[in-house]
Amino acid sequence: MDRKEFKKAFKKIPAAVFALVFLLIACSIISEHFWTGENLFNLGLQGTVLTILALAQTLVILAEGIDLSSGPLVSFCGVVVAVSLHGGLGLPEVIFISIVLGTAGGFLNGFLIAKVKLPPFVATFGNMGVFTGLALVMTKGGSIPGFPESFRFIAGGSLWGLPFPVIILIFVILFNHVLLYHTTFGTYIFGIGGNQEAVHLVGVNDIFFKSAIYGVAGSYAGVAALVMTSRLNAAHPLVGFGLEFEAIASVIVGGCSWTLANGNPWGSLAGAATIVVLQNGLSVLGVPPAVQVVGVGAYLILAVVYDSLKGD
Amino acid sequence: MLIRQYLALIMRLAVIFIIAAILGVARPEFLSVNNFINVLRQSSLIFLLASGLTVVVLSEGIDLSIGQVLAFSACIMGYFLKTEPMILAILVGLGIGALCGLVNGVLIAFVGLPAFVVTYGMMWMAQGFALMFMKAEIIWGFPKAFRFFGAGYILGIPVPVILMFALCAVLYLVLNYTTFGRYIYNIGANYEAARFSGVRIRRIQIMAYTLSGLLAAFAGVVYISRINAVEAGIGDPLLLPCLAAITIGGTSLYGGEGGIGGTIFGAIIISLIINGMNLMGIETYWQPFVVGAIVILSVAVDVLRAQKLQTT
Repeated sequence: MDRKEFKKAFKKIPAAVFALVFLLIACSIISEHFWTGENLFNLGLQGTVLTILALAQTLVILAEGIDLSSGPLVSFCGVVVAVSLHGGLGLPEVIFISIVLGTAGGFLNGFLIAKVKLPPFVATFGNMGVFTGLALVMTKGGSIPGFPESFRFIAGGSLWGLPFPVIILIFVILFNHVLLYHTTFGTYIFGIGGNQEAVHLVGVNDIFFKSAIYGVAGSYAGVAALVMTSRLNAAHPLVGFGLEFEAIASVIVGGCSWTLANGNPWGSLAGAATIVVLQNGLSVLGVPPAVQVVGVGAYLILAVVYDSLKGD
Repeated sequence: MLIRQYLALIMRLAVIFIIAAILGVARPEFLSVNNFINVLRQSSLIFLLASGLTVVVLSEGIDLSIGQVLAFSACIMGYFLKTEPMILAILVGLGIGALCGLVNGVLIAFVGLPAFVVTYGMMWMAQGFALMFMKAEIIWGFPKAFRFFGAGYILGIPVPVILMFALCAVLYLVLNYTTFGRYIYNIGANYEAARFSGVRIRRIQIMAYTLSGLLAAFAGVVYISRINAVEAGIGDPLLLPCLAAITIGGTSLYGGEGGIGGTIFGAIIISLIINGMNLMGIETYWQPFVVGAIVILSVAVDVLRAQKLQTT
């Protein structure tokens, strides 16, 4: 490999990968507990929800959109799960409800964007209000705590020595990979992001598939809601507040771009990992969670500036 | 063209009358002078914040950060009000707002990121800074002279309402009779044409976003002066009503069409709806849902209208 090729390959590595290496080194210096099994277990647990949402956001951003409503959709699904559990429904029904509801919410976004042709940030921002509002109405602003043991297994259990959420995460990653790279639908996602007009002219029902992309993203939010609600053992209408920002940041630092319709889910995984590690490190340093958002924002800006500097 | 504008104006007035008539019949107390002034005062707060956003939207941009920029600048203003002279505190607050807007503008104009990404990032950054600065505390009890902006009266009319009409007049003149204003419309209507006509797009964009930040901080002055307190979270629920006011007011999110006058009508309609919901005893939890739905509906109408115009 000569120098030019090496340079080209180097440029393809998203900022998140360098950041991840840096953060892992930094964290092992500031805290001797970082590499303990317990902390890694916790990181996996915390990271699951964010990573699932980051994968959902990747699909949407690859299709030249954005989903600002994924955090509130998680809250809404969580609240409905809680209400159904207290209404006496069993585990399978609840899982079904959460995923279907997430898909429906996502489809609503997709319909407004693909069919009615609203700008994505307007449709999903409006639905942010809609989902938050519905969740607030259902709980009257309070939270719904306390679930049966079987439901708590989703976040609290472990299988084959791994936390169960991590198993779910691995499953979602595999599903996402197959969907993107080994199905026609995946090809359409890249196609719609690259040139929707062309996809339309080939005779593909681009409007349906574009809606479906948001629908799939919504179903991931449904899965994330199950993990989140089970982990907290409570549902609150504002619990997902801000999750969408972390998810979008993960995708951007992972190298996805709107204008070029490039990027891949592995970059987003690295992005989500950096954000979870960053937050963990900031917590060790005693930075309160509400303020950690500044750290995430600064990281996001650095990554974006780095990307724009290296050019294409 | 002119006829269509008058028609739109009449339609908006009709909507206001219809809502008012329904509320008047259902709740006689709605028709009191006190409530009328109350509605106007509420709409003035929405308008002041939405005014800068209107300019940005006219240039086919978007500023999602206004609510949090308001909160951040208001927090710092509130802190300085306690120790420093009032003028200095206000100037510092306005400066912070303008600075946030400037950063938005530079990132959008020079780094070439989509506006909704940059301002969405700024939204969280400003929020984080505000939290960092306030540490979850509330500053309250401002000097009497400062309270004049939000709670004072001139000839029986609340000062915020006077400020609303004054700012609207100024912005109307700026948008219609200055080169800056005409360039805003040009860029929004046809970016490429504006570029080829030698409009310094980057400079105008930066000015527009800076103005938006500045006016958000100005709205912050009136806002905290009215409630006589400030905390980091005051900006959270503000963006949705502003977007609703702008879109109801007939400013197209695709830029170049509409104007500042419409935003006043939009702000009044939104306040009427919220006021009506309060009077009818509907729980406040419904508000995000209703306002979100209004945003989606009004933009959908705008988009469908534009499509119809294109086909005929």
